[in-house]
Amino acid sequence: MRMNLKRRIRLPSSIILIVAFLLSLSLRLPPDANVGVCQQFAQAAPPAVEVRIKNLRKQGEHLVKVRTRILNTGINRLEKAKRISDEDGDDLVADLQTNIEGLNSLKDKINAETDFDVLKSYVKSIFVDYRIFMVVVPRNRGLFAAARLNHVIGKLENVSSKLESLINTYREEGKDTAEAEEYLNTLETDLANAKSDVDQAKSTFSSMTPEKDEEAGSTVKSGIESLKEARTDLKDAAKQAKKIVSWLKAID
Amino acid sequence: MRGRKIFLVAILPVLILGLLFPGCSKKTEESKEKKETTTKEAETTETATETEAETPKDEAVKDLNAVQEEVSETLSEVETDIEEIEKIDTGQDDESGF
Repeated sequence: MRMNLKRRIRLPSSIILIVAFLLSLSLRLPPDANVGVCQQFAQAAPPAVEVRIKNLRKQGEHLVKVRTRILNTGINRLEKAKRISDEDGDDLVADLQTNIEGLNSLKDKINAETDFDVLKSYVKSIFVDYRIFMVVVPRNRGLFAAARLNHVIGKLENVSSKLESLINTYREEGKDTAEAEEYLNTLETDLANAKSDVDQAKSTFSSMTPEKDEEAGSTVKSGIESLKEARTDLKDAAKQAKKIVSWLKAID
Repeated sequence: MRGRKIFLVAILPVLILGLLFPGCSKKTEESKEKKETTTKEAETTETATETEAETPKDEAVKDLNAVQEEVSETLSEVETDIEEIEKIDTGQDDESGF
């Protein structure tokens, strides 16, 4: 009972207090006060847009920074690489540098832009027009791996031709070279397969562009498959070369 | 008097000998150089003989051993390349929200 009585008193009294407070406010305000409040709100709007622009600019700068960092790491890796041809190395570095230059000029545009919507489109362009993680980095790394495999092919081809001329010499001397010839044939087949797989990997990775972003995942998978096959072929080729050398050691 | 004696006994003969055989020290240097050149030439000839001694079979075995190491290192680098391509976080290119 006591509780109910207290509640009954509290509710109306609080309503009265609120009404009294509002009345006192309206009495204090001049007649055109409402117009002033509206103006204040209207003036507060532009700073909000400025803040949004500032934040978006910051975000854009960060996105560019992360991407240029990973691209520069790629360039360093390529510059240190010993087992690829100069031509392949130069092409791959040039690809990464083109992307860095594009992103940096985009960053300049982002910093200079004052229109929110245009700025937004520039930031979106970092993703859509470049696709650094989806396309550029996997493409570059895939082509780098293909260039490395090409180097191995070249080395094994040299060994193979030397072994072939040795086997021919022994055959001319009247020795039985059938076993060695079989190894050499397998070695040559493995090298030819590796070559074709590397070419396939190169053409697959080269076909990747930011516009084909939806296919990027499956293209990378297919390129990796070709690289793996070429790697297996080259491992087998090296095994065959070893077998020929063992045969050579045993023949005299 | 004493100085003159020392000059006559010790220094004068040396000077006379020096005047008579002026190229002596030079000749010693030249002979040293000649000796060195001869030794080098001999070494080169030895190496050439060794190279000549290497048969095409030895050369092929040597080549393969050198290439074998390079091949296995490069193939393992390619394996790393493949693993790193597979690890790339392509989600970072997700533009949803723009």
